[in-house]
Amino acid sequence: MPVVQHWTVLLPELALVGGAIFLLLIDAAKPSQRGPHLAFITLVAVVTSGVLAFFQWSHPTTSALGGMVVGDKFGVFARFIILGAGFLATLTAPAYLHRRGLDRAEFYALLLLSTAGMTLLAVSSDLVMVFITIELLSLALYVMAGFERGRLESQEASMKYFLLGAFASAFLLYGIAFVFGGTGTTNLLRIRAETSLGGVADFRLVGLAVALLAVGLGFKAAMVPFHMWTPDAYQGAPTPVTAFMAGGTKAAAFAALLRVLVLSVPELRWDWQGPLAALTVLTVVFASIIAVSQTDVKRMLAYSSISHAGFVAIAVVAASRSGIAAALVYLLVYTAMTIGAFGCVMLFRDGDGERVHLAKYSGLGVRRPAAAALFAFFLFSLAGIPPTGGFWAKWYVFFAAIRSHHAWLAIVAVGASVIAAFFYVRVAVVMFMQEPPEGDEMELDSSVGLKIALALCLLVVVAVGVAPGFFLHLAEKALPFGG
Amino acid sequence: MLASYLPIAFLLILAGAFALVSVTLSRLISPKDPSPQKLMPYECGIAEIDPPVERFPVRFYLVAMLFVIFDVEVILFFPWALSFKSFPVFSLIAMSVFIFMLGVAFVYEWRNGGLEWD
Amino acid sequence: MTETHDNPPLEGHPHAWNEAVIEAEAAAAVAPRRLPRALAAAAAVLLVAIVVGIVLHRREATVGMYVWLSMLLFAVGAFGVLIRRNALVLFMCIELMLNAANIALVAFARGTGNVEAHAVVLFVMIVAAAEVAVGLAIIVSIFRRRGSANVDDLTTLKW
Repeated sequence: MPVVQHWTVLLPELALVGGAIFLLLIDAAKPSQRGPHLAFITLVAVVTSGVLAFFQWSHPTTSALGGMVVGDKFGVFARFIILGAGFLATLTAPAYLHRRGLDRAEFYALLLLSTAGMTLLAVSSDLVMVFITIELLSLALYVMAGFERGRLESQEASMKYFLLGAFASAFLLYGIAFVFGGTGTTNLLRIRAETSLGGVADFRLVGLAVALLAVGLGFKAAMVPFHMWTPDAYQGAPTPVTAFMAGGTKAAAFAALLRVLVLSVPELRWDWQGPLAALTVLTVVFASIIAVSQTDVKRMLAYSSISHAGFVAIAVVAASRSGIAAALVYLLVYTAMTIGAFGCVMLFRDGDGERVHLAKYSGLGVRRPAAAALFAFFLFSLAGIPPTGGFWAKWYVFFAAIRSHHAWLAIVAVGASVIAAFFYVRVAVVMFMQEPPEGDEMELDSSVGLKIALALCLLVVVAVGVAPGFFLHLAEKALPFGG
Repeated sequence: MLASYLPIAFLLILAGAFALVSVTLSRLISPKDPSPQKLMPYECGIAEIDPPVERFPVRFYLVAMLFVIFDVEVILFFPWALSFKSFPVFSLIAMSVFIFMLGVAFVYEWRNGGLEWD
Repeated sequence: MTETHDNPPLEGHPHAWNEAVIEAEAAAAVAPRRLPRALAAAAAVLLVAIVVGIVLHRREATVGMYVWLSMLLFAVGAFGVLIRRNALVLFMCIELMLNAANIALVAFARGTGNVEAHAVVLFVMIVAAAEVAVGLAIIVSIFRRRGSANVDDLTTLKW
């Protein structure tokens, strides 16, 4: 029975969903329980999932469940990034949630389900699977964004994210319908066969479909002009959720975008490269310019994540072997440094809340030099300043763009990163060059989980900074993907 | 390739120009003689003070949400029943897992008081 | 006008009775205007339906017609999302878009002779149900807090 074969490809996801079900069951046994054991169960589920995924690295590429999912090295690499985001978010969450009385089993169950949606999206090789997994990860995130029900901003973030997210999924689904109409299948490999020489695809329908799919996936990856939800959702959501959204969703969305565009419709490359390059330019330039005028640090980091989506998209436009490897390395570093930066925002507490306004950061470097230096390091990495991992990630992306004759894209992106460097460095200047206000003790959050998470982020960013070649080599080994 | 987008660009310019010309022309040509009566929303009667209030029976929505989920999930049983003979063992296991998950959701909802009307 | 006098005065509100009368009068002034408009819209829809029915009733229904229908529904839904302001109505428009995609899928399944799309439609219905549950939960929780489901009132964060 071919359908049943290789269901073991799904073991990492089964571990995540199993963890979520276990959490719901223990909550049903004793409703509304709280405590650190919930986070511990979540961590166990994520680590188990990671171990199970690791064993698939050495396996040959397999197609499972009737071609719905594919077990390949690319999928394992993307899963590791996503599981890393889930792991780090779970480490940072307990202290934050506990302060606000939100450390409930539902939160962790939703986190696990959302992670399962993301990892499944990264291994989907069928558009139906892409749609369902995007909905799985989004539905959980909509609720998580609004988890702080008492706070107006959180509710509002949830509502805006939900309405625009559902709107975008409708476009994605309509795109899938047209792919089916044009090729008679939703399987990515069969779509490739039908759109190649000798296939029977109706190219008018497929062209329209690819545009609609790009809208849906571009929304999830937060590319301009489909980014409108990002600043609001990132600013309003509880910060651990923001960190998770920024890291995990982007990795999953780009894994899916790579599979759909590069794997299934490479024959239409000449049609989608131009518009996607235009979106890329729009994203990096627009996001960098808007970010300069932000005074809320979470909102500024949201615009930063939008501009980073543009950088990854450059690698997608390149659509080459080195481009995909560069995208994977970029997503790895991006996830570590963004979660690190949001982790630092959680670290700088202000009474019961956190410091989000830029003015509140003045003098942090004088009072808390180590923590401020850590934050500055993540910001410099986000800006792409040389010794950090962020620099090498950008370097590989530009290199891939130049090699595939998109040098102009690289030039525009370099210009945008100069603008972007301004607002990253400005935070460092505020922290180190300005006098601290009187009477502000600037206490730090002392939770162990947050510290471990920050240390892990730092480790990844430094490791990529020191040995970028090793990670690029690893990413290249994950290629070519396929079924 | 990119040249094939030229008609779209042309259409955009045309649309923009049309909007601009018609708005400017109507500004220039139209007679203007405003009076307080003309600016009121209604000729007679009193303008609305507030928009009409919308009613949300919250309890009803909670029950409706829970109902919709469990009601619609049943759709999945139809294709399963039709294709059961093709792979009996696998589909039985798969459907058991699915029903187990629905059961977990149900137990969770029940224990958290989602089924109590008051 | 007789029923306006039966309106009980609103508690804790000065001049409540007067305002109740005023509101009722305003409503009476508005109602006869709204009703014909709704009737006219319904009549127009009916007329279009009759004309389309007469034009089409002797022809073979082709896949293309259903695809055009789905495009029309999708456009109505997308347009509704852009112009309406009530979260519930926005949500209904999004559901309309999903169902437009369902019609397209079924039509294409007929065209290509591949029934896989029927399974996709079932999945979409289930996902849409889950979306309804989550969406209603979000809208209800925000309505409880603010007493409004108007998306223009969501201004705590910059929109």
